[in-house]
Amino acid sequence: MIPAEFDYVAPDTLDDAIAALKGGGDDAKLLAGGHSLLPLMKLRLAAPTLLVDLRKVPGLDGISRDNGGWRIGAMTRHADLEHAPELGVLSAAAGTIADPQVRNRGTIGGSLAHGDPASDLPAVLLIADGSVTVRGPGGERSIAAGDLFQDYLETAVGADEVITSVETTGLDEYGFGYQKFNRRSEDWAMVGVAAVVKRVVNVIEDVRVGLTNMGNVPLRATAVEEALRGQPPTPEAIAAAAENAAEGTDPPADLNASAEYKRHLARGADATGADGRRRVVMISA
Amino acid sequence: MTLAEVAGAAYLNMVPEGMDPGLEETTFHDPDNFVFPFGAHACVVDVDPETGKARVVRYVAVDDCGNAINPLIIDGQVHGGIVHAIGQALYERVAYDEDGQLVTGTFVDYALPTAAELPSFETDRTVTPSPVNSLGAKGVGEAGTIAASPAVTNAVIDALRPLGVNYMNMPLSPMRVWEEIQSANRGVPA
Repeated sequence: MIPAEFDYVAPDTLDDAIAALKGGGDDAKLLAGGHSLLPLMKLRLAAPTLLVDLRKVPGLDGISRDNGGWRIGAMTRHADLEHAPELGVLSAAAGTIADPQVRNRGTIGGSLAHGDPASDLPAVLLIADGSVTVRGPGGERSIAAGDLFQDYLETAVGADEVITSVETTGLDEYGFGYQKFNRRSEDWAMVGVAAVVKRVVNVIEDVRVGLTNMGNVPLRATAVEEALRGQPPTPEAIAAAAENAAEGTDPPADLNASAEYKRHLARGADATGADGRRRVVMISA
Repeated sequence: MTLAEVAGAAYLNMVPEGMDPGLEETTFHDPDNFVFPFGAHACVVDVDPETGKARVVRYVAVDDCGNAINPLIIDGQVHGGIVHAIGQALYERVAYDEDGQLVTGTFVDYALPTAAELPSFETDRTVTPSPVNSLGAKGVGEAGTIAASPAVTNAVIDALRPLGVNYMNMPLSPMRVWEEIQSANRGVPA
């Protein structure tokens, strides 16, 4: 429960934070809430020699409209997302993260940079066609969600780069849902499914389905999407499409869930409503 | 003579020649009888056949611990015991990997039930004073832990009985229950 020794700085500007990060080398880590990193350090699964805390850096939090989509500061807390229902599926997913204490401290940038496929926001970023803006010694660049998550706990963010904001497309005309299965309400998702759907008259014009914890990175359930696009949103069509939810996935087994069980859960979560009854999140919104 | 004077004399070596300083006396109490608290617990569980997840939706506990000296503390003891035992029935498990490494070493992996997983307990008492002590009181600290594990386990098994399931090992985790349902549907034992 006691982490290895480390140094700690809390710079006042983004440039100072980037400089500190670069100066600390490979063993320096950013602290952006700390609700994933600090437990790992206490278990000695991570032992950074320097923590660069972003809490004093101005301008890194807040939610604003941007080109019809959303721009969310990297230090925006999960609780702030949860209480911003205008964010749709992102808000719904944020409200399921762990418990209120974690949601009050954890940040969207911290969660995305951690790159854990069991966390709830990566799959949402994927279906929202989102991206992150990062800044490093060489300047600023944007990384699309599809390129961000490279492997288990590995992202495309450089060792000396800081995520400054998260951008998503606006999904104002979309219905949405986030379904998460776990043993206890505060647990990581065994499997999570994020879905957004756009209906025109009685046809599904666009549908995107993201999967949490069904692989080393968050995934799109493309087979479900293809099966539903252009179809009427009937329970039968959705249930039939949901059967494809695990197609092409190779979910990691863990103590509580075998790969087979996870595939089963993914199919069920796609077709089950928030109240647990056998109906579909996608047509309910 | 005061107690302080006795203690002082005993420890200041004012004891007779050949006797060690200090005063010691040991006695044994051999009671004629023990107290026997008793009770009955009943619960209702929901089992989701799609996921195997079991949830306690109603829990009723009636315990008899003789004369109730502090009813609030008794309820607290019973509540805590029930939670502990629901943990054993549905959540808690000590697991090691092939190398003997404990893989449930944190409260992330070693799952204790939290308030979000539990119903509001309904507790009541009967009062049968114990005849073997002057208070007429009986122990209640373990009452919940003893009754709740079989109550919850039997309720889940009862839900699965139409499938032919009549035994399961704790904890009745979602995957274990799901596998039991799958096996029963295929007509082979898990």
